Amino acid sequence: MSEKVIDISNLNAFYGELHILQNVSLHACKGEVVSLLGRNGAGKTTLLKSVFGIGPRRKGSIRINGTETTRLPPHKIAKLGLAYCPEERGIFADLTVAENMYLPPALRQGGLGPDEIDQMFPNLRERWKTGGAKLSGGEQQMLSIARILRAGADILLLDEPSEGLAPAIIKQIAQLVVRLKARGMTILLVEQNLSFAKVMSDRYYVIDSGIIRNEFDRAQVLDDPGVVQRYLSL
Amino acid sequence: MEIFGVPLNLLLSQVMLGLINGSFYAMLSLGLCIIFGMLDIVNFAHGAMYMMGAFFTWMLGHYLGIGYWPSLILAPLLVGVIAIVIERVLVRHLYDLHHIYGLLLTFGLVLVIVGIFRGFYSVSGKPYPIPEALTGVTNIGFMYMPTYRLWVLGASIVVCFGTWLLIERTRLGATLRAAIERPDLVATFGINVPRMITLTFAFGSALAALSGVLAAPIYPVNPLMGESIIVVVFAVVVIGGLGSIIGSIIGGFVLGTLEGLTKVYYPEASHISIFIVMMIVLLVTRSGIAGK
Repeated sequence: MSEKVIDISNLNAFYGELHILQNVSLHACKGEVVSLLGRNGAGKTTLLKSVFGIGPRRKGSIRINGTETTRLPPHKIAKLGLAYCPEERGIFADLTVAENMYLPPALRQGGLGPDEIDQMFPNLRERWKTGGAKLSGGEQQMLSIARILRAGADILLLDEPSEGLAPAIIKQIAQLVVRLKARGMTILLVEQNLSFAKVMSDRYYVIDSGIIRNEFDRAQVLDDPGVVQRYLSL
Repeated sequence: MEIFGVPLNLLLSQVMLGLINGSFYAMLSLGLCIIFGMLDIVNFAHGAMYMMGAFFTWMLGHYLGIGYWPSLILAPLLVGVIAIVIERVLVRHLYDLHHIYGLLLTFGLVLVIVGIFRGFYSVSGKPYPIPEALTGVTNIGFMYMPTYRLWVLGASIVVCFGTWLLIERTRLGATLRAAIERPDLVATFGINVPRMITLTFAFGSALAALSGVLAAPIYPVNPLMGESIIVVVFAVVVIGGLGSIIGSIIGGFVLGTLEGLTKVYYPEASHISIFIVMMIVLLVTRSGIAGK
């Protein structure tokens, strides 16, 4: 097995008295796309925020490239190559596409250069001076991913990137994630949309009520999507 | 020529004098507005920073023989360092609490800071000389204006619009505005948001101190000088729109001018004119002229 880039063990997270995540353990190896599937309110977003230390109070162990991060502030965790695309994209409405793009400082070597950005995200250059509020959902999602790639991130936490997008745009986003995987990036993907996730996922975890209920590999889900689907349907 | 029974020359003179007061209002409300926007703290101690800026200028000259021009840099730097200590030790514990806690803490700080200065220097005003290069008067066409006051007006316009450019038109400013909106997300970009907040508090306080340095040769330097001006400055910030940089700057100059004109037409109301405008603006817009 290759090295564990994200290694979470016995993670517990709390909002006040509420115990949201309970003894969550999961990992993602270098170059893997690992999907975390679950219904609304299952604790998926809380898990991503906990990895970055921007959400709830947490206990347990989170190692990024072997470095224990539970005591590190978020800006130092980012320097380990980790980046986060929130569900609502996090595009700043008052800033232009260009300003949003250059908001994260280049933290590491290997970030996408202007030519690679243009090649991978051709629509963004045309919208360079447009305000963030005027972008479509798909453009916002592209920009949200592009800006962290420019900064040099190679471990991506993607929170429901297909949420609220038209099927044609979802297909583009799926192709983009496949390309990122081909570049060797490690991706922890939070999703409810199995048909999107199974395009690129190597492994799956299913979370419900803050507890990891099951783990599947790619072949199991391709053979019988129902093994996962039953956890997602109401 | 007269306008509403007042000679034009007298009117223009009052406009100029109003603009001078407006210079102080604009610089102080700008600092207050930046701190409120970034920290969400209503900083009642802003007037004390202004007072310390003026006092440090006097102290640098009185004890160390350091003149006005180096003090323009040194006094704001000293106040900036004090602001860093205040933010790190006290203010940062209040970010998740209701505004009233910030207001109470900073009000307490005013009492402590002013009390210390009163204890050492009493409330009598300390005179500070106008720098030699800026003494005398300058003919501006319709009046002879003290050169130093022209300098104050010019310096404050440069500082205010320079700060506006920095915040609205640079990458640093874009980062600052983004951190105001989503500090958690901006932290995931690798930006040290707590340090940014500390430096913003220091910068806003240093702006107040710079106003104090500019004020030292005009107004008597005394521990109470910040208290009298800060109430007006709060009104300016509210009228401009809480958190609006441009609203604070333009509001400062316009309301200073309005106050000056009130002195000509109805002097009895000159001290309350800004507050009457504040009441009207709040009744009509709720969030100030340029507020969101």
